[in-house]
Amino acid sequence: MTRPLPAEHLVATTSASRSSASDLKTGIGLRALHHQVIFAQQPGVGFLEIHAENYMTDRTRRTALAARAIWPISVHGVGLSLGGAEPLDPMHLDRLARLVAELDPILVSEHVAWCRQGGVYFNDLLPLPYTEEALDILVDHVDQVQERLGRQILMENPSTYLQFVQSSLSEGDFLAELVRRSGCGLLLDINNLYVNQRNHSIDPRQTLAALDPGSVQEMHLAGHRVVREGGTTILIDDHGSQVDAAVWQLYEISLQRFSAPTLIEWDSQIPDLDVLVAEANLADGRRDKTRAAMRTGSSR
Amino acid sequence: MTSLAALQQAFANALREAGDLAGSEIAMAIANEASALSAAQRLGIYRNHHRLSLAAAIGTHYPTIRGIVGDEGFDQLAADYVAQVPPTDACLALCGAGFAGFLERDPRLAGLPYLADAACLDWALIQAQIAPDLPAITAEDLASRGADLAAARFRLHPAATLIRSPYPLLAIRRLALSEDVEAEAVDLASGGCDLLVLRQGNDIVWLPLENDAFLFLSALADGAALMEAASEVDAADLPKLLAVYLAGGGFCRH
Repeated sequence: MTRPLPAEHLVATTSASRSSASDLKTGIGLRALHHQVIFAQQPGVGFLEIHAENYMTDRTRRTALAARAIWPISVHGVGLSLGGAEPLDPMHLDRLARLVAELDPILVSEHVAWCRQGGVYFNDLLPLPYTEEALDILVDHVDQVQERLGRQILMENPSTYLQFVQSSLSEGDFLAELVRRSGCGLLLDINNLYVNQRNHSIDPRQTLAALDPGSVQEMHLAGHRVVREGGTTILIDDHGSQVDAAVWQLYEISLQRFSAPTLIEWDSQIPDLDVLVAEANLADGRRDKTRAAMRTGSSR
Repeated sequence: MTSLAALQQAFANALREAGDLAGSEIAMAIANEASALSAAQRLGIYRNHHRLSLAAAIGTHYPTIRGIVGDEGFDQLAADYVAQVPPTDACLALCGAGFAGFLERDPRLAGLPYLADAACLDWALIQAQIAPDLPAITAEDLASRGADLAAARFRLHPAATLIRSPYPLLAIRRLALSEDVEAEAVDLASGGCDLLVLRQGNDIVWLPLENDAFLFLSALADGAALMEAASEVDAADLPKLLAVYLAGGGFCRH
């Protein structure tokens, strides 16, 4: 890329160093649909997140490298099945390691979930029972990935549509213990907290309170779909719309405890790039407003 | 269920199988919650997502087939295919190579004999995107071989596919992808096509081939030496065939 960067990129890139990552402007996902327009317009977002599995062929990796020359990159894996009882797929871990080595992303993240059984992939982030056994397996797998990549990864809290009778730990305690034992960080998905609140009456404030403020190193915001089934309502975490008002509220509450870069996720019914960028700008506005209010509050 | 492995096995079975979820082994492990949703309804959300998301993934690879059979028909075909050939790679973009063969064998599709060939073209365009980079034969490579060129052998680049069909595949694909409801129907008897699909730089292209060019390139792809393959064509056409096709990005060293 020989085109000069707009000034806000220089600011964003400079602030991409780990120490000041929380000042990074909100990022958006890099989607195949936007490949042409995003390089043409070069919007001033804080960073781009790529789904690791979409950028593992030579051709797509070239696109990721071209983006890396303009924006800080976050690599978000969806296929390692870290919560799976079976061993990790070594070939897939090698591919991820190569991608991370080439891109030197500011953040690398995966999920508290499983997606593979008997060597078959389910293309979904499936729920885990919150048991000591599941925690042991997850910690072991996170250790393996961190060792292979030579860096810390962030683990994202899931959204779920069911809970298991075996679960003996709360969501917050499970996440906090995962951090304590593996040394990973957390990617706190605010929409997932809200979806779980509505689907299972899990109090998000209790989950937030269980987490060490320093452990949350990224936040996700996304839209969900409200589905009425029979006499009841269930929230589907489809990342296919704007962020809900209640999720914005929960984001502001979370900002009082955590300071980390934020990303707008939009994975289905992907809109024009302008809409994504506008949503990222809204998140920046919410963060600035919350931080200003906190400064005012603390100076009283 | 005492272990995570057993729970995930039972969960995976419930996703894959079509049976009653209320009676499934995994349903016993689902907690009752204040909400009125039953364990079967909760599991059904995951089963439904599994089916639709994989159909959508296959659908992005095979837009012509989705266009021809419609969304509902395609989702059923894709679900049946995934049940036979479940994805074994975390990169879904690399899955779905066998869909054309599956369509060819499916008796429900006997009335659509061109469908498998249309799927071959769709997959060739995907293959051109996902195949690894390998140095392709260039005009300079050919020139540098001198007298050895006649005996040289080549192989098809992993991003390239040769297609021969008795059906007008490009017109079929164009119509299937068209949103114009009044678009003119394709005359299936209007003639077949021979194509070389390949990657040139970052671009995916298809080159229509004359019969002799197709035979020449097919012979090369099958491992024939250049001299043997050239017996398929008029000697006067050979320089053009070498320049446009052999050195066009579609072949690499044997």
